[in-house]
Amino acid sequence: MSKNVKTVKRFNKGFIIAHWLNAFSFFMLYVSGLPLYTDWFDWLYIFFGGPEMARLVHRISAICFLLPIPIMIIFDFAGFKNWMKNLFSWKKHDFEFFKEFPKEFFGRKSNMPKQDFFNAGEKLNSWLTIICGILLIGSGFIMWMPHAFPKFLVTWAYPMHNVGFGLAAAVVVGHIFLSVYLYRESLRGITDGDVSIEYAKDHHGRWYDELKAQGKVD
Amino acid sequence: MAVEYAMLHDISKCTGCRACMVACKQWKDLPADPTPFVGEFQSHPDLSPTTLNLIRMTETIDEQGNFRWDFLKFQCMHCGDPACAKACPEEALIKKDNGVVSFIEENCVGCGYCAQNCPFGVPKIDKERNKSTKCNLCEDRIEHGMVPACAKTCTANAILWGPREEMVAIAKKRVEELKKKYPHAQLYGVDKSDGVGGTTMMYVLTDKPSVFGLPDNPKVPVSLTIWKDIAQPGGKLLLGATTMAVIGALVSNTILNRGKKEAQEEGGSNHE
Repeated sequence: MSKNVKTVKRFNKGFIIAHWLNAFSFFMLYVSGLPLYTDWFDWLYIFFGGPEMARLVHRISAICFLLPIPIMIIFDFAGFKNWMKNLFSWKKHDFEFFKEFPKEFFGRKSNMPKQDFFNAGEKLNSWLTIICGILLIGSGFIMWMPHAFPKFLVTWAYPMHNVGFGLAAAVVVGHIFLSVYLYRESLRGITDGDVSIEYAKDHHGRWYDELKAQGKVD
Repeated sequence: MAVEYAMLHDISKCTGCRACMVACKQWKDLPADPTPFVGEFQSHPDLSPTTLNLIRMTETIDEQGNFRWDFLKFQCMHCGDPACAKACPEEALIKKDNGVVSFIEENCVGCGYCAQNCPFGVPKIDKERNKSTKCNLCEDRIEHGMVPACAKTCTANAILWGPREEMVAIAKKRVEELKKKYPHAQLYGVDKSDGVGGTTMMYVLTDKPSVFGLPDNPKVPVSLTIWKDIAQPGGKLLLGATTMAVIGALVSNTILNRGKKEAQEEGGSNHE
């Protein structure tokens, strides 16, 4: 049977739902908060029906933004464990990734070493997302309930929130570009949940080797 | 260049009659703020969306052991370098040449950034209307050459209003007189090199500012400077940088891979 298998499972439903809930809530949070970042975006208020509604949307989305990690843990613990294991594994091939990646990024030939289930770029993206998430959730909580916190924490929450979404937005631009343009097939991994064996071999060589050793692909 | 004005409260002259509070409510058509009696002379504990001017009362026993009652007129200080205006994302707070930190209510979205960052804790958010509130030095009156309602009504001549230079001269003369009786007598808000760029609401104090509940060294919060001068432009720069990188990659990929794509399509094996 395995000889005819052209694709291989990459992400389970729990992981996929967590990813898209994170993406959707981040987008809603971003557009509903943007007018308070700079008044160039005051026109966005129109879509929400005024500043008060924008704030309500921001707070509902904030609750959604808390859910991806619990969803992942509850519905795809194996996937979560694998993700965590990857995030804390930094070896030679991970550091070499960043030497080779710029060539690939601008469309030149690269000599990319074999990568894990999550390549070093995905690991970096995950780390930045986690750090930004902590900054945003921590400071956002304080800004939501300023009376429950000392004044200096409240005043520091604003720059922290700003650093969080400033960095996150910059990361997101790169993340979207890589998935919809440069590595088109990776998008299938996070929508349908599987990728072609060739893609796995080309972009996640060490994962492919593992699959081969387990007899899941040939 | 408009004349820069200033208000001067000489607390040694203030009798705590609160006529200024009433005049403020009257001119601005604000309702009374009923407060329970808590066993002291203080009327309201703090400013509120309907109380923009408040006489704060303090009981002090000085170094000589004399009991003293002090009254301080508290409202927006109209800082030279206003933290509220820096924090406001909607340009609802603007420092004017005449010294007033003007509040444009239509622009306000009630986010509360001004209230959180004011070194004096002045702006109060009206939760019902989702608007910030604070004293505007009766801008509508002073634009027509009139005196702010509180200064106009003051029974003890403790609140003065006029060109800043004149007010500073009066204040300096007065504080010299007071120093004979009050060794810690000092000016507040006059020095434009302090942490908030001086204030348009100036005081002649009989003691250290902290005795009257004013910060001894008011400062624009460091977190606000980091937020608005580093984090905000930094975020824009970072977003711009990644966007430019992506556009660059898009262009160079298109150019470099033009030939390859065709070759792949002919060959049939696509290793995308």
